[in-house]
Amino acid sequence: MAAFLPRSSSIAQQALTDQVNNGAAAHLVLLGIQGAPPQVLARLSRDLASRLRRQPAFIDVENGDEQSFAGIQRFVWTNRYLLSPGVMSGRFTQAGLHAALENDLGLLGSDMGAALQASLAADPTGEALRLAGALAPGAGPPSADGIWLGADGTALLLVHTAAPGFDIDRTQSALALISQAFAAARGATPGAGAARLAETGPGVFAVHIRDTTRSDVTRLSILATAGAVCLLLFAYRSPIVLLLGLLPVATGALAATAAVALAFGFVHGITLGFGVTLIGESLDYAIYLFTQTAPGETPRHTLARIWPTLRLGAATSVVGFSAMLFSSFVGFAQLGLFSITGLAAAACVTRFVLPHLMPRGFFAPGSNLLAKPLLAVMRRRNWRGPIVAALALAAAAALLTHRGGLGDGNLANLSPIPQADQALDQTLRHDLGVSDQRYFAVFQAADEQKALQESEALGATLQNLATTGKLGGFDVPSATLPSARTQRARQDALPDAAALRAAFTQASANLPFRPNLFAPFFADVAQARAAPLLTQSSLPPALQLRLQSMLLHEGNGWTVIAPLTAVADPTSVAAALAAAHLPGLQFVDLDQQSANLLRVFQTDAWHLATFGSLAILAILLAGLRAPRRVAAVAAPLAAAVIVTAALLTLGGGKLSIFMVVGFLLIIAVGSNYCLFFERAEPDPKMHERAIASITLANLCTVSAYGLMSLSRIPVLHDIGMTVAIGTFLSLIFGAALSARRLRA
Amino acid sequence: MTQAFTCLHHRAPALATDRALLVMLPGAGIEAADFAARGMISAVHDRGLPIDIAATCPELDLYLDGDITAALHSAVITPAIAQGYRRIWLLGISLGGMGALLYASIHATLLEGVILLAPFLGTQGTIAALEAAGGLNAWPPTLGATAPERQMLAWLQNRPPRPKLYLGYGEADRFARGHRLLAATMPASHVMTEMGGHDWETWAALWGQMLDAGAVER
Repeated sequence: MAAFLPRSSSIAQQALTDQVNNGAAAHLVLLGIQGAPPQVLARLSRDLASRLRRQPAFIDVENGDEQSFAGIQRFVWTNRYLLSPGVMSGRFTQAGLHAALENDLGLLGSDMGAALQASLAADPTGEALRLAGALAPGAGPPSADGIWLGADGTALLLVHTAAPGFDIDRTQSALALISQAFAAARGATPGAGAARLAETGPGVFAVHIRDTTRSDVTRLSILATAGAVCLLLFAYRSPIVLLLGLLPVATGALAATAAVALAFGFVHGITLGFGVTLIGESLDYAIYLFTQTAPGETPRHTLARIWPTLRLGAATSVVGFSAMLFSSFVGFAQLGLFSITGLAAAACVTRFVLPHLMPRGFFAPGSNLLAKPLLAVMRRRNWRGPIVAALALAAAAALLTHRGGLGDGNLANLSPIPQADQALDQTLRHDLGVSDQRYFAVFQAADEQKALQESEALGATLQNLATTGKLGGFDVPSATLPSARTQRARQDALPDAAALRAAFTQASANLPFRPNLFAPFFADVAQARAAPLLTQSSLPPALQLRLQSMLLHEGNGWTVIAPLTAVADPTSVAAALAAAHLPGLQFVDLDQQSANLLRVFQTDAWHLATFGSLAILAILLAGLRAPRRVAAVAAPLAAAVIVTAALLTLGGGKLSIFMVVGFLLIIAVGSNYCLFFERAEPDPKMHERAIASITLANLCTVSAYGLMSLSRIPVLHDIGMTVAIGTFLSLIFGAALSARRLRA
Repeated sequence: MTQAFTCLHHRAPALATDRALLVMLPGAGIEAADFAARGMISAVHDRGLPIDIAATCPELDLYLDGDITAALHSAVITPAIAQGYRRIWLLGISLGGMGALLYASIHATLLEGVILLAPFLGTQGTIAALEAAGGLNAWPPTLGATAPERQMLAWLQNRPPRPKLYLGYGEADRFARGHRLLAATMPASHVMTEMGGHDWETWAALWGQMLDAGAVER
């Protein structure tokens, strides 16, 4: 997606893409098991978790049991003196130790006693307890039998895959492992026969979308190809000519790919897929040439007749698409160059190559039949113009009175994820307490240690905000991995063995503790003083993943992304962060960033459509040299776009940005029809052939895009629907408004 | 994730301009969400009382470091006063009862009332020493208690008329010896008991009794 983000994207927008592409969130798979009594689900959850933990495809598997956080707990316990912010000078003096021991004594009898008793001998100052909050994952869902259970009795598991969600192949095999493990666990758990597994997460979505796209594209393109082949075979009655018709678009696609690769150094996948759709118009060029060749006419002669119109049609599209070159999105700019080069190359192949390859004496015998219905429309004289005008006016009125704006401002509607899957995701996330992060504090630093040091300063600022109730919570990378400077300072705050013993003996003088109880404490402090400093590689995998989603290494710099939760008043938090004087620190509201991004995207799309349309008018004026003729070509197109827009927004619908791209395609394809309608064709037979060629081209376009509109993927559905309706209307309106009257 | 002071807000559905805020403090091992799950919130709101509730869960190290009062004050009470709450009550269960008493001993004037459900009042040694001395009010200042114990007990001995104090406990609670010492210094109408032990069933029943008796109402 990065290529389809604006070139001038801010650090905040980069944070947005980083969140999309990287970070622990991208590795997350949420599982829910239903369909059995709670005790059975608990056993099933344990069995499934233990099977998954044996697989290297999963970094960690949490279901609430004691093993879920064992890795993190072990790490925190072993390294508590390097990790704990409580380790500072004064803490291990006689007074500091006495206060700590007295507190322990008081709490030993309380309901905290059990936890305290287990750790007291090695950790009388409670460093591990202090870290439990900051380093253990959030509160987690309520548990029964030690296993997480959701509100409706669903057993919940949280899995991080080793592969990030965008690595679809590896994610798919990880999901297959989950299915297998679940089937095996269900078989091994008595009474679990009816249990069902539901899964969600970015990787699950990516796999589903790829599967849906693949199956849609395969199914629909087979149908579209079959439809077009039948139509063209009916018209041409020649398989060789049918294949020749592919030559312009194939050459165009190759030339376009080469041009984009040369200009940008890379070709985005979306450019390729979309670009071929945009230059699909060049399939029509061959249709015009083949169908308009009369019996006994040479292709060279046909081209001499129709080339000026064809050339103007291609030029119109090229000029229209060239507006995309100026987009602030690199992806759009690539698409612009792709379609310009592709169409130009296809037009040249049609002009200079195809005539030499066409079988001698070829004409399209079946085409006249196709033209009959349209010719019937054109023979009706009187009511055509007023009806089109009335339709366009009614559509314009509907658009002008449309409630709440025409543009779709909801990003979710662009998402290829089906509603039901999004709902499941919401439910499982809510039950597991894994909320979508909205607010972040973001900054950049030159190296890792600077990033961690500034993260510590940020942590102090955020702690103040949290203490005063402005924030519910936060996470900073330095909480997981303190900077080397801080770790060394903590080591320096630990006294040597003799000093510690002396201070401790005095501190515990009047307290009723057994002598030698604290031997593990002395040993652990001595060890911590000499321990090597922690680095990223010392962290257990689950914490590494967490750190890497907050501390990103890109190019020469490091970016820190600190998530903030329960932000009561974003304005005051932003102001407090601005007042903290941490250089380059930004407060990011992801929802607002997404909305901004969409707005830029929409504005861009509308600008492109407007400038493209104006450029098309200009080239038509240059080619046709008469405003009246330009109006004759432009009026049906304008009516087609307006009526299409009105149909698409009927009943309160919104226009997506994909539909706006579709409008540009309507104009590009439809302008060719209207140019042929408008062209003075002296011979009525030739005129009928021209009408037949337009009809054939339109039937192919409408069937292909109409099938595309059946897709479940919004981008395919929206463009397919828009172009199918719009090009069909261009054909009908073009015929209806055609100035030439045919003999009745 | 560093959670400052987990705080779940439950606004009373009742329409009233004079709304009270009840801040609930849990014992160790209890989550903020448990108050709702155990019916402690609905017990109030089903009775139509105009009492907004903040179910909290402080980090345990606040108790270890003796920072609970300062943290509760800055994270919950100060923002609540800024929001316009004039009637603030604390409800503490077990270790949370100790938190509520420690807070009251410093900021008594900010509170309208304190509700203690099976509060942790001190170690067994301290409680035994109090019993031997003849009760809470007979407490000798020379007793070898810990600093938080001394702070709580000193305040309880010279307790001001406000905040109002309610106590509820199970007869079989493992801290019941301490509870009885405190109960002896309180009016009987402000002390509720049940047959149970140190568990949710008992606390929920005690809470229902107190609400029926008009605690938290003016």
